[in-house]
Amino acid sequence: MKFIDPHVHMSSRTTDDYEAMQKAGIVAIIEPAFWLGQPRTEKGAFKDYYSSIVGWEPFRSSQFGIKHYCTIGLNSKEANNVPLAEQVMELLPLYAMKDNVVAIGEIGYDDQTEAEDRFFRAQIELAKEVNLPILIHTPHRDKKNGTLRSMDVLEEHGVDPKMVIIDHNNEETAKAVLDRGYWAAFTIYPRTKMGSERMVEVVKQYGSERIIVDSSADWGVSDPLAVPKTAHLMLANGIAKQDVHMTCYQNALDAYAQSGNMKESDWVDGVVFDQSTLFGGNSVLRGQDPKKGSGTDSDIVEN
Amino acid sequence: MNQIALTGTQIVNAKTNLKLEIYQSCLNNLKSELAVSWFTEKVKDLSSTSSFYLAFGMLKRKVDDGPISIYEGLNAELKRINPAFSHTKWTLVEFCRLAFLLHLDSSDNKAKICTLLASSDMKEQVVIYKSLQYLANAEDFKLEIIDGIRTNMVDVFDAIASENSYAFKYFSEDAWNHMVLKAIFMERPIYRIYGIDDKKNAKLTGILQDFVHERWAAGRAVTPELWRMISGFENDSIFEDLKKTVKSDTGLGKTAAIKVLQESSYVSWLADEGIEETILSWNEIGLQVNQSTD
Repeated sequence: MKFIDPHVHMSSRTTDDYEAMQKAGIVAIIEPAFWLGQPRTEKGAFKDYYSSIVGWEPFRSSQFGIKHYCTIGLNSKEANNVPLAEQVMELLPLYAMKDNVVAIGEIGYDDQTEAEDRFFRAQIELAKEVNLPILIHTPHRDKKNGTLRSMDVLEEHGVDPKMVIIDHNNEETAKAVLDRGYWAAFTIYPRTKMGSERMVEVVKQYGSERIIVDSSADWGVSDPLAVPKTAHLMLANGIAKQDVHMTCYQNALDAYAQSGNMKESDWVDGVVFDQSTLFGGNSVLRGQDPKKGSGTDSDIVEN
Repeated sequence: MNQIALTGTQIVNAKTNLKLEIYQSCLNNLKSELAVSWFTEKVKDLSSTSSFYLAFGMLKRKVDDGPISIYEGLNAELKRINPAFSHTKWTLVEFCRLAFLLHLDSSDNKAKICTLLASSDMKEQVVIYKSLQYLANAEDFKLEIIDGIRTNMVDVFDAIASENSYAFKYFSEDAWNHMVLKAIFMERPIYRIYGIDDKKNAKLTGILQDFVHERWAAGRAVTPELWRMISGFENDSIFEDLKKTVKSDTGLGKTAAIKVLQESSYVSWLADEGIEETILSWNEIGLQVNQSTD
């Protein structure tokens, strides 16, 4: 089976992860702009980070045959440094137009402060202006209220729910998000978010319509194989293959394809990173070969 | 370097015509009325920094990408600036972006293009690096291009190194050598570097010979194309390396070493050893080396 992980912070991951992801059937990924585990203190740090997820990381990913997309946004945690956030907001229009950008995000609330609210709204307006979907990060703390409030604000700004992916849902938020017409994403992340067994139950209860599974793997203890693992667990628990396909591939594609920047043809014939072959139908993977040896416990490091 | 000597005014005129001809060619290639009117309007409005960035970024959404066809006159003009130019290496979106870059006023195009480069995605970097050689003030961007070859993104590197005359025209010997060496490290096709034979030099030969020894010490092979840059700078020490390559290498590495020897003063060694000369050209060797990936 083929999978998409529509939320994974690859900048924090190693080539071993890329290799394992490719082997597990992941063909495309989305890297939402987020924070790096510690706050940035300069505008330039944001600029270089954004440059990296529109340039360097897609290249790195392509070496493993995986198509890389990203979302651009100022995350809610760092929105609280208002003078810096104002500068970062000036950068966003420049990056929102890039080739692999499929949404504005992840934005929303962390502590639900006034500053977070201000920059959340400004970015909703930006998304409307450039006609991109929106990826919502729902808070860890006071999650239910934060999620409801996010949807209220989006509706206040006249955003069509089908253009919005609400992420990090759980059993408590799923119903409201789905009932109001949004895409509901679930993050399989050990201990802090969803476990894969709970995810199986969610799909049993709600079916597969507008439900999306992701890993949000990052610099913390997390699992870049969470999507394929959850898919296998769903199959083992009697969930229909079609529903697994919808939740672990198709729904993410349908949601983010609304950007106009993501389409299946980007990866079905292989991922290339040489522009000169763009119209030649050449699908050969170039550059440094992904590691050839099979995963043994040998002490020999390939020459 | 270039046989045709033009006066300053003639160069300016030629570039002015180039700008208009490329603009016209873009219009000819655009398929929809909507794209034509959008493009026509945006070209007139590149003076503010933000309108330029937005138009440059929006282009890919406004234009249906595809291959381009161009008239012979424009083809000849582009080849005059860059003899390695081929329209088959350009897409319509790239060509329209080239038109935008040419339409910037050269009094402030440097600041605008440098800022754009600093925040560009991979495709944008590729087209900017491919385009700079066609600007009237191309030479002003030398440091940016030298910085560009420090990239590890293959297609960005290729945009500078392959079928691009910029390095040939403007790079110092050290910058040129750095580019060639990096191309070898990145396993990029050497035969596609414009002017590769004309800019060979003794310093590069020395660096490459050290590189060969380092690779051999590590039990690794070197690309057969490497010997092309050494050809013409042989000495007794390199002769030993070539002999070793002919004896121990098989395939194209051996062919390349034979080729260097047959064109050198050490040619008699081949006859003494009963080794047949090769009829392959360096480009043919390069093509074969890169066949699996090109």
